[in-house]
Amino acid sequence: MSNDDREAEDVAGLFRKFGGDAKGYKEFEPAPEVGQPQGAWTLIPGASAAPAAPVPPAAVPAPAAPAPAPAPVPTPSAPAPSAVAAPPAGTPRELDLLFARLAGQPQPAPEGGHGLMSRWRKPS
Amino acid sequence: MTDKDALLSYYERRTCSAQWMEFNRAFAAELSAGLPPEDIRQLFRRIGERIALALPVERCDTVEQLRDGFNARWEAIDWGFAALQEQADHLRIVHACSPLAMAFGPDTEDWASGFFEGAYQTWFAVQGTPPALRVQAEAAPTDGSPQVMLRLGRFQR
Repeated sequence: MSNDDREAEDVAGLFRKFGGDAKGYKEFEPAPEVGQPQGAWTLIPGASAAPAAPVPPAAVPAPAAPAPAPAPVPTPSAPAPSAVAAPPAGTPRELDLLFARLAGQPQPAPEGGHGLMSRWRKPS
Repeated sequence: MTDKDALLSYYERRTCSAQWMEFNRAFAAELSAGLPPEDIRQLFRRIGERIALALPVERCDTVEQLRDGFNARWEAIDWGFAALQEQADHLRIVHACSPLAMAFGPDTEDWASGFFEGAYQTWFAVQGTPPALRVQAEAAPTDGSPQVMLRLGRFQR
């Protein structure tokens, strides 16, 4: 008799004692963890509480980059899993430009290959 | 007060449950009697920071995405909603229909708005704001408008 069979027999015996039906019995399972838990603001001491200091930007988890393929085989592009598509590396977000403007800093210029200057024809 | 403000005010009156209102108002009265306003404001900033960390907003690209991220979090806890308005030297945050004024009373706006300063400052920091930018509440409107006005900009410390 396997462990599962023994557990099922135990449960059935228990339900018989109370005159119940073991067919509706379900094992509790821990909920699958999906990302960061929401609503972590708890009043229970010792429970997972939010840290006191604001999280610096560097602490924001970036979407994991896929492992490089062993050979450069062209594959069809798949849509990003996130609702917010990650911008190409080196392209400042609209928010970065806004923050820079508000902070009075020079606005970050896109790296080569992006923006208007990438289309500027060089004198030959 | 415009029709819109009257509607918002009506909604705001219903945002704090009777179960908690007297408690919160007594709590606010004790805080006001025992601590200087700037200390209470700082306390509420820290509460706002905690709420923002408990309800994180993912990194966004645009102002519209950020506004939607904020509002999804506020919606989840019935704390009203925000609009973001780009200005020449600041980003204006207009937060409407929060239960704060009703929960703590009309005389607490000077320090209760510290809650929103802490919450928005924390969310903006995660979005990568430079250290020079801070969120600061404007003076409470004198026309009875049931909204909290804040600015993300450069302020003298």
